Amino acid sequence: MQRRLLLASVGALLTAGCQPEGKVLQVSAPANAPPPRKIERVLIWLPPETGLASAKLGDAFVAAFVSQGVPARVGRGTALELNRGDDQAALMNELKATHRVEVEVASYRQVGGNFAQWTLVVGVYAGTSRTPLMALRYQPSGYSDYALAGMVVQKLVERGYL
Amino acid sequence: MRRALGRRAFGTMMLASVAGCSAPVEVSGSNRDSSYQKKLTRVLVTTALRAPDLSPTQNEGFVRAREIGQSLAAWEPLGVAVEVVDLTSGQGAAEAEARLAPQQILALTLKGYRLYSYVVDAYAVDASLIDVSTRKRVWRSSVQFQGMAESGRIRHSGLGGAISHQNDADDLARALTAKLKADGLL
Repeated sequence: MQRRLLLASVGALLTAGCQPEGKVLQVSAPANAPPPRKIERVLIWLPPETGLASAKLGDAFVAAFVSQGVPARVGRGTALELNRGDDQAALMNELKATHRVEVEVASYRQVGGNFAQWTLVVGVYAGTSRTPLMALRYQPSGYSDYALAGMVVQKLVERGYL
Repeated sequence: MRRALGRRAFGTMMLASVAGCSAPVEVSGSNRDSSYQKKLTRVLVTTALRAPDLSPTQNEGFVRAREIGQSLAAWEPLGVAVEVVDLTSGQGAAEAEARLAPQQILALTLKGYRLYSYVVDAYAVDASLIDVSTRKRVWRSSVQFQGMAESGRIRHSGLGGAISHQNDADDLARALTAKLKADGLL
């Protein structure tokens, strides 16, 4: 009995924080995108659905950008928002952000009363432009899957934005 | 086979008889740009009501563009010209825009859905009204198509096949009309 408990505890310790990564469904960028301008300061904009895109996801984005020497701030949209630019303006001005990273819940599936699957779409924009420099669709593996942040930053490094 | 069908039909009837009292289609809240003074006059309604991760059969659970078009014909006596375009079927919104010269675009976009035994039971739709001249969103609401447990409405045949959703379309038109009138847009 004690050996079983010990093994279970070791197993739990080994797997703790080991949320498997989700799936990148698509990465796209416009064919005629301008030459990349380095991201100097970035606003991370999370969707109103806090259950599917928690504050910890915002923290993960901030940590990922800071690791590249880029300051980042997090804001969140409101349900039934009309024009996001108006809502973002204060934070953009405060940070003097050169770029925005906007996270949206593109779709979700419920089975019974639980969220079984959902897709997040991340758009990277220069300044207040509405044309994305890069878009990434991601299917998280669970509520604690924050790997999206690291993946987005990695793609930005690969494309010369960081 | 007959016994299985009979049991399923009986179970469905029993469930429907104790279903909650929500309306099958509800518009929950709205947000309106208070500076927008125009009324709806010529509206292009675009629909994107398909889930790419569901099969064609499962996608038959969502209300169809032509059904919505039939229901929104009720706006014509109110002096509103309406055309409905299904964005998921390859219909060209640009051509419809050029043809109708709308003042507003009402975009109905599927946000999420709930399955019951692999068929669509309930779903949520974003309804956004965009002014064509400024391309800004001037009104927004969320439409809930309530499921069997909440409203008693069933969106599939007993065998999971396609059925008419004209009732959903009619309820959607009624709910949108009431909300748009309350918000001074219709």
